[in-house]
Amino acid sequence: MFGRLHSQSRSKVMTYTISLPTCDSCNAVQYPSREICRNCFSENITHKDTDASGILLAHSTIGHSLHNQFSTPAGWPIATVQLNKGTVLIVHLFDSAMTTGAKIRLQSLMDPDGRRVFIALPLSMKAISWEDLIKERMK
Amino acid sequence: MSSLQKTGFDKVALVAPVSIPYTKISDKSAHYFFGRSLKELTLQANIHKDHIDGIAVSSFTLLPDTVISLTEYFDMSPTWIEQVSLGGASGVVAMQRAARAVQMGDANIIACIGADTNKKEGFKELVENFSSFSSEATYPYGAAGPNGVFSLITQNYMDKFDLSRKDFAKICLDQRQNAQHYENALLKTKLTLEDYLEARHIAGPLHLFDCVMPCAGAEAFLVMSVDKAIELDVPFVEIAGIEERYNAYSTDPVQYRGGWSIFANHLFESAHLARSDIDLLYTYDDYPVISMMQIEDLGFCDKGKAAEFVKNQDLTFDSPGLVHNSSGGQLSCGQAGSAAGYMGIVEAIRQLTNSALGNQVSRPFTALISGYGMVNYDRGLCSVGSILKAGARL
Repeated sequence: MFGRLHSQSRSKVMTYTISLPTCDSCNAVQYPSREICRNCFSENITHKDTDASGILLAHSTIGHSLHNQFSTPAGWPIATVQLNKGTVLIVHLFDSAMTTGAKIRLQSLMDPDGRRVFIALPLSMKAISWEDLIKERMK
Repeated sequence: MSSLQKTGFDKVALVAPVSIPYTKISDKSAHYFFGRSLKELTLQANIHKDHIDGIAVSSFTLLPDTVISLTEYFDMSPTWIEQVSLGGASGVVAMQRAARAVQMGDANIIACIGADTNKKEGFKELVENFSSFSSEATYPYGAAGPNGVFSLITQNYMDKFDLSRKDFAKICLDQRQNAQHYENALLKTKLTLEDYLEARHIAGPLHLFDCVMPCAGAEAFLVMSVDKAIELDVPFVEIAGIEERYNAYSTDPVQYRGGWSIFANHLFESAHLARSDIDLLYTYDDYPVISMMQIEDLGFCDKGKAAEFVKNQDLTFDSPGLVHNSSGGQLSCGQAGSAAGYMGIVEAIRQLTNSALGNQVSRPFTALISGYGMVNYDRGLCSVGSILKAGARL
């Protein structure tokens, strides 16, 4: 459910990963997901772990949502992030105070509708659940 | 990509500009707005519906029906039909396809119509299932619809070019002033800078007056040969150039430019016109940042300088210089779904044939209509542009 945490024994550096659909033939990441590779048209797409760290490119707080679950008192922060390996994603943003250029890591979590979604967290922050997120948002 | 040597659009005429007045909500179907448009087109051109042998349509709410359904609905038997589902690029693209069909003799009189209804909860349903990518990768993140993506695009543009919210106001204020003189505009209340800045928060830097109001309505026009327009004795406009580009700059992490910058020089060259020759500019104004992007990428100012460009001149219909979105655009008229992609063309035809609805610009000769559309995931994928000129009777 959460992004995975790997300890690389030699460097002692903690690396977070998320799983994204990736082409077996050319390694192109397919996000949003595709059944045929966006680059080489291969049918062989499998989920592979990739480095979950990146930077925040743009941020916003949704003040007017079409879905009640996002109507929280201070609005619902989202962001556009770019992973270090280049993939760009629109994701939930944990901390609305984070601004453009901030270093982030992504974590995967399950939302109440059963969708696997991503949230951008400060690099040093531990993994959270959707329930933790809602508690934080309702403060 | 190799450059194309396109054939021009000589001897093609646009006539009968039709706007079916918008309503915020409607319990009618999209078919109703298509039918009203067809009736108005025939009245303006003084033709019978059987004379229309081509139909090009755009609509989000016509589904599950399509253009073929409309032929049966209205007892018509055309030789040529087309459906263009490209949102804010639909009008220019429908016009291009229709113009080619007329040039090639596939049809004589083609009705181009963008029409949509707006039932209660209709906008929510449209947004929730807009595309497979957006259902998977944007809607679950705040369910903000287009406001979410465009708030991120706007924030990125502000960061990149060191702008504040105030820099987006001029587009909205000038358009509201235009709307006060256009009889069909839904939003006519005078808008001040203070009103703009203090408006209700929507998403990120976007507030109420940066966003269009979804509504129901239609925009339509006829495409035919110049000879046919003269035979029918109807005022007409000619096409000086059309360009299209799709999924341009796809590796930009966040959209801050579009395909217009790739084709703009060719568009002006093919029309034998300079930027300074353009009297009327119609950008697709779903958000002010997108209008500013088009102004830059079409070459009216340098990249990142649109805020300064619009601040330093009067863009209203009664100004002596470049007039921008003379009817108030979507920001003041409302966004009637796919009709929004036809709005600029229809208003340009009215202006260039001296038949504006209360907001006539003084003796315009040329118009540039720019289209933008289809946020499939995180950016609009369509960039189109067309230059129209007042028709010349030979």
